[in-house]
Amino acid sequence: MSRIKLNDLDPSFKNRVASQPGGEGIKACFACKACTAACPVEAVDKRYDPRKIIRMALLGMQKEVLESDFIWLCSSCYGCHEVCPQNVRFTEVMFAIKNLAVAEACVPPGLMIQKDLLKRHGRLYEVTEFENEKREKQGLPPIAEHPEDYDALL
Amino acid sequence: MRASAIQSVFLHGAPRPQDQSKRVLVLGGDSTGLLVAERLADAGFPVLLLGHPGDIQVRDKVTLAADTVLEEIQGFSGAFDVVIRNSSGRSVERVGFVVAAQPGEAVPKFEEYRLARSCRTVSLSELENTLLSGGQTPARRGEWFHAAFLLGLSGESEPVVFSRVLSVIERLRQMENVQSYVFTRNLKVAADGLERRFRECRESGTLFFKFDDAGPVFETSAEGTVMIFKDPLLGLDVELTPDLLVVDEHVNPAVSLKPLLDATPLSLLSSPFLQPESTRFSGVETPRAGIFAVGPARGMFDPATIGVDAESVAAALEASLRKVPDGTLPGPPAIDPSKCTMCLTCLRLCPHGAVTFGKTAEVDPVSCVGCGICAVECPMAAISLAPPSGEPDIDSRIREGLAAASGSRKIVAFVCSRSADQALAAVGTGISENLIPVVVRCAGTIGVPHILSAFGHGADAVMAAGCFRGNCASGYGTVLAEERISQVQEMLGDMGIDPDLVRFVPAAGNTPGALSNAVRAMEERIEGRSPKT
Repeated sequence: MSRIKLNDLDPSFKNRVASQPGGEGIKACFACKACTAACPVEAVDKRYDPRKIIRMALLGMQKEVLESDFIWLCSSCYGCHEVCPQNVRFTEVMFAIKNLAVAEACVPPGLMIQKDLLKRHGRLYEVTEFENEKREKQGLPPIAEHPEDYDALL
Repeated sequence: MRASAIQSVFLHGAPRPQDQSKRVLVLGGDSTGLLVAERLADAGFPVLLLGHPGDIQVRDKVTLAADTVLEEIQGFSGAFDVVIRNSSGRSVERVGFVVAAQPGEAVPKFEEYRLARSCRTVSLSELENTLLSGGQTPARRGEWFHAAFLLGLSGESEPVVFSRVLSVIERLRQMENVQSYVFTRNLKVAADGLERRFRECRESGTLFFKFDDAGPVFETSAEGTVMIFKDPLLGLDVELTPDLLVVDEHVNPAVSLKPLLDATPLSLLSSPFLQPESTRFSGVETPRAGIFAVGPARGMFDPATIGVDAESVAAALEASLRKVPDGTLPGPPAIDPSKCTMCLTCLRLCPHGAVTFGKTAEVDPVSCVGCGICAVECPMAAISLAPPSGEPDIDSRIREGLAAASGSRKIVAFVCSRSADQALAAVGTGISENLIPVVVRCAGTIGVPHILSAFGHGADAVMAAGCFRGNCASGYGTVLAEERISQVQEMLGDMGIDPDLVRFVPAAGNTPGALSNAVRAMEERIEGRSPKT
């Protein structure tokens, strides 16, 4: 990786994260790494390192953070939230970062497909005649799709 | 110690304690010295203040000698003769006490960081003055103003300097679009409210780089200085071209501290200031009785704490006036003029600056705490420390202790009255019937002859128990005791005797276990049960 030029980064990025609901705590981080140690995702994929994500955001590496695919790996288990001594509330910070990513059109394609599925069917899997016939044989009521509720949200 | 002082003391002789003076010489130079002078004047001490306090009005009780400097201090606490000089010449004044409060000299670390001062590379003091006088900071080169602060990059950071950096960052934040960076190493936050301000500073957007590697490299070209470094958290190569690069400073002691340092036993000072490292001294005490150091004379200091120092000095002066030699102290030592060869060993080694020379060595009874280091170190055995009234001397106590001992083994333990005696009190003398404690004033008074005498009178082993290093009431009594012990160990080794039958044991009232464990280990050693180390 070539040298990062702090002068070319955006110092206001951390403020934008902090102004999102949930992002307020990001600047309190003093980099103790308790979040990383507690993170089950980091244990299997080193690219998802909460402390490093915070650092990148603080340095103003907006593009590298928002356009990365690893920010979407958070499992929202709140393990980091539990252990943070500075009350950064990192799971919430990740929501803030992901919201910014969506707002600035940096959503990974897989997620867009999921969004379309929700929009069309109101759930992540389409319910067809096949599923409802099987349910009927088991004595279960059929499922009706109500995509209109999600349409309003999305 | 300094030749000139010694010569002149030879000429004048030592002032005697009956001439005790309440007058205080305060060495000032700014508002700090003035504050201390006025506090002492309020407490009823006549004050002579040297050094210019600026435009501030000096109150009546303080005599100001603005353009006068101190050249030399002679004499003892309560009766110092100070040589001062002004444009009209030298004079000698009698004062009881001397208080150092001179402002230090700030030296920016440009050379250390291999940086050159420029309009964008300035010292912390320069930036503070610019901001204070409403001056302009250099122009920004982009949308954002990048301000980089170097803080203790070549060693340790100082809480006082960090506090100043935080204040400047808080001030810069009043401008629009300012990004501040702090480049540091071991960040110290041990001061009132500093940790809170550190957090507030981070929360308002300042970025901290705490290095444990070589740290940033500075490349200066026509465009400015570029800082190149590895981000300690990401491990990635980063560069920054700051619009403003702020360099921290060393604080060197004032040049006018020299006559005070000359008059003080230097062996207890590890910094170039007048502050001894030992916790046995109060904040304002120096290793020389009657000479005190406040604020900037103690080292890096927080101006907010000067009031505390002023109170401490006032209390110390009151206590000093109440201090009258009584029967509880052994001494001062008696010097046999027919043996004294004026080798100055005692003058060099006295940790309290209590010895001087007239026609022979003389000891100031006010400064002397009776540690006895001079007596044991005198190569001519010219100094003898009279034990407190009615008490037998060390040798007779060794003999009596050994004669009265009931145990099958005999361990003579020299016990320092300032530390190990408290440990002994905590465990009780009954920890072992083999233990024969001989309480001494200071571990530093234990000489090779004492240890050999113990063996000569039938001891199986000898221990010396004294203060922990760095916490010795006599500064380096522990070091001296350890030296004696290793000398005897070598002698025993040469004679084919187990050298570990002699040991130094650091002990204090709060570590009684150290003493009882050492006694037990020594018992096993005598029995030959413990392996050779």
